[in-house]
Amino acid sequence: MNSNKPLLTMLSRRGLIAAMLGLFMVVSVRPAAAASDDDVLAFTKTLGDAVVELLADQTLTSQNRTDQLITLLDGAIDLQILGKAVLARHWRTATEIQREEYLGLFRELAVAQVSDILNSYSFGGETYEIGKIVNLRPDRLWSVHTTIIRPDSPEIALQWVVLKKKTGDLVLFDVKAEEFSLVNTKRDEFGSVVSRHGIDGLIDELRQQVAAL
Amino acid sequence: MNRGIYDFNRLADLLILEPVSRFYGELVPNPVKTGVSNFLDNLRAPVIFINDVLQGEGERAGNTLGRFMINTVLGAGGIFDPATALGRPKHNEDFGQTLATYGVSEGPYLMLPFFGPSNPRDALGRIVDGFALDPVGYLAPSDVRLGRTAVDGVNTRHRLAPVFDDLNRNAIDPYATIRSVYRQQRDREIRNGRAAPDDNYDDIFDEEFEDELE
Repeated sequence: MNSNKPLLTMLSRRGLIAAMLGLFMVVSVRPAAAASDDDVLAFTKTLGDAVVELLADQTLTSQNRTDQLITLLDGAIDLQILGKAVLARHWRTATEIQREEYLGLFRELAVAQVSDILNSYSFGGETYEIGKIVNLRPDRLWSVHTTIIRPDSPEIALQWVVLKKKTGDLVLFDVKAEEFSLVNTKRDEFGSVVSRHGIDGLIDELRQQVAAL
Repeated sequence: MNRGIYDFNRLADLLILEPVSRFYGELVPNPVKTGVSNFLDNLRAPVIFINDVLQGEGERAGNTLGRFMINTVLGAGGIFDPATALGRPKHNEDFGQTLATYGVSEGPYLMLPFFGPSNPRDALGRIVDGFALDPVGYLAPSDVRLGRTAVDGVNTRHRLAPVFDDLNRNAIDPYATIRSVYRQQRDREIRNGRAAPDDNYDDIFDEEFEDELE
């Protein structure tokens, strides 16, 4: 009988470990804590303040400003999510190689376009005011309405669409300037190219565009 | 079909409209260009007013009428725009938007020769505006109408030059981008400044794709 004890103990220990592991797994797969409107507003404010500060800093060279803005956006955006959202249903039909190539070019194009915008317009003195926040999808997607105030130019209504990732991190998902959505416009554009020339056609077009910019 | 017309428009733009509007931009002093824009805007006021009324937008109709009177009298026939400074900013209306407020759907996307992006509803609106609602359309001789259309085209092309440049530089498919932007723009104009219904990105967050998103 006694000889069975260690085995039983062992079994019960195993049970305990299994139970603990199970508990741990339950804890770890439990969805991240709900994000409140305040969290989303704080995220937007941190990002908005950083952009305003960067645009106002006249000591930066053009290249420095571009580099810093890209670093800032890299921290605020999940390129994978954005790239998938823009490619939408075509993402499912893309092969691994196509996906990787597409995401790489998507990033290169985004970087080139950010620097193109910074070089094409003069900035400095912009401020913004945060308006209302709308919860678009429960605990997943919010839209923060802001007004961009520019010296000697009309105000711009800018919405920051913020996504809560499954990890609980908040990322910038879309921007809408005067209600024109960047994600929706790009999705229409990329979708049109894919439906006529396939994903490889899109990749070719993106490659040419990156080379041209 | 649409893309063919788009290519034709691009060619016409490249050969005629772009060079003429660039010439106009470089040759004509800025205050004169502003005067031309103001004058053409003021000439459109009757069409905007009638459409405001047809949409039951009393306040906006009053605004348009006030603008027309102020700018015609105090603004030297519409060359200046004192109405904006007096708190009456301009807005646009057309019969396509009026039809939309009556519940007429846009129908398939159409690319019109010379006039660009449209749809059956907005194309019909254009005809009604031009031939039935616009006093210039049935009072002025045909060469005046043609001259107005030409100057309007050149002036608009000049004002939109940065947008066109940006589009041609940054879009891999400018045709699809114009289509997307046109739809979003019309949707916004039809709402007359009222808040858009919340865009929940339903097509991105459908059940299947939601799992793949991350």
